[in-house]
Amino acid sequence: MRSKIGLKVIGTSLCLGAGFVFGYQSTAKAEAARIFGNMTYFTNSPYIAEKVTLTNGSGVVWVDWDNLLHVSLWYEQRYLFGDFNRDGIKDVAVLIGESQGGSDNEIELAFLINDGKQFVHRQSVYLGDSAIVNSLKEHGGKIIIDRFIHQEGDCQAGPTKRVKNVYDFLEPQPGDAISFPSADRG
Amino acid sequence: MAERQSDVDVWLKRETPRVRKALESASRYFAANDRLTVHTLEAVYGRESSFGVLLRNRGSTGAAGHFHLEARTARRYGLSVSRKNDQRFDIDRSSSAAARYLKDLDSMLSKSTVLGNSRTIAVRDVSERYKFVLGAYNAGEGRIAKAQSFAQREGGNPQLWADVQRFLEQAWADPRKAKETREYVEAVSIYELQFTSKSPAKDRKQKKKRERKHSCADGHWVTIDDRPVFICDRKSV
Repeated sequence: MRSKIGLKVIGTSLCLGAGFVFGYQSTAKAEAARIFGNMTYFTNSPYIAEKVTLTNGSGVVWVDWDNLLHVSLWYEQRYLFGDFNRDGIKDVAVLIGESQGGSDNEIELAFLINDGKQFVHRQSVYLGDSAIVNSLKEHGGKIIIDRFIHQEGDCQAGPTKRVKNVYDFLEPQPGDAISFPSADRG
Repeated sequence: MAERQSDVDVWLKRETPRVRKALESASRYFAANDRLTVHTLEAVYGRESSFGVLLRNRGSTGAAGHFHLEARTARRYGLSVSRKNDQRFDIDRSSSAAARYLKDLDSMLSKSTVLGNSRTIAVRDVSERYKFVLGAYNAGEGRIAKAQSFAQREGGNPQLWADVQRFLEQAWADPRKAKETREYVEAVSIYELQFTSKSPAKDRKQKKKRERKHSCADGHWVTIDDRPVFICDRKSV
């Protein structure tokens, strides 16, 4: 009898714990979407001076030619905290998508540096067209990304080459990252 | 040992009568003298989603659905994009949108068109323009226009894909994206050739208006067997 009650108590506590964790995670995700889905980002284009301010997760600049030409950005609902510039303050890295129309679907990692008052987009890393990100991990201020990218013979929607890379905000690899000055680009 | 099937053979097995009908129907947006055909649609469909095998997430802002169209482009062609109802996942709607988009790109590149702070340079040769259209479908038309202007500035021929594709990196494509665009144009062109020889799909392009063999300006109407008949005057034939 006693063991049955004990089991019930353990079961109930586990359910409550799982519910709390799940509830906390979804609240955190919603809060992150509210913040990072309404932020201002640079595009990866050196020809576009305007920054894009997302509203409810997406934004667009440079609309022209009957809406066909545009550069759009969106928040990919993934983020990771860490001290990326090693100044002792937590920064954040978020996944964003960028497209210039058609089937263009570029996935980027945006480093948002905490300047003490707010997060500012300071660097982007191109992860691949239609890349599928399996995991984002932070280790010692660096980010380890496990993802699928295209290889020969893949269709656009289904990259199959699995790669794992380490990205460091302080030591960007040439060809991987684009840094943005704190002032606007002209 | 069995020979490995080509991508096109695999895709043709996936092409159900329903899918073929949708693609054939979408090809009505192409004109008779266009380089674009129903086989272009088949090749793009294969390259984008492997004939509907990989469609990604419903309602996503990024590219998704049968033709891997970005949400904004899909909406421009009247498709509804939401998590509940994403018409990019409807083969009829998405193939129609893809065909109209390819046709628009073809028209845009057939004449000089202003695009933001760039301008396309008219590509007169139809076969050459076809490569530009595929490049624009993959990388976005703004990049292609930009690469054309770089090619012209550097002394290349902005109407030749071989010259223009060398400037894709300068036109802000990441080197990996630029490589992908080059491969995309090459692969889709090869797929289309294979589809042309293997696929039973038939074009429903708009036909040219047939010129009348006998036409005349002057004549008169008569009634023969209760039907109105126009009789040409001998001088005007």
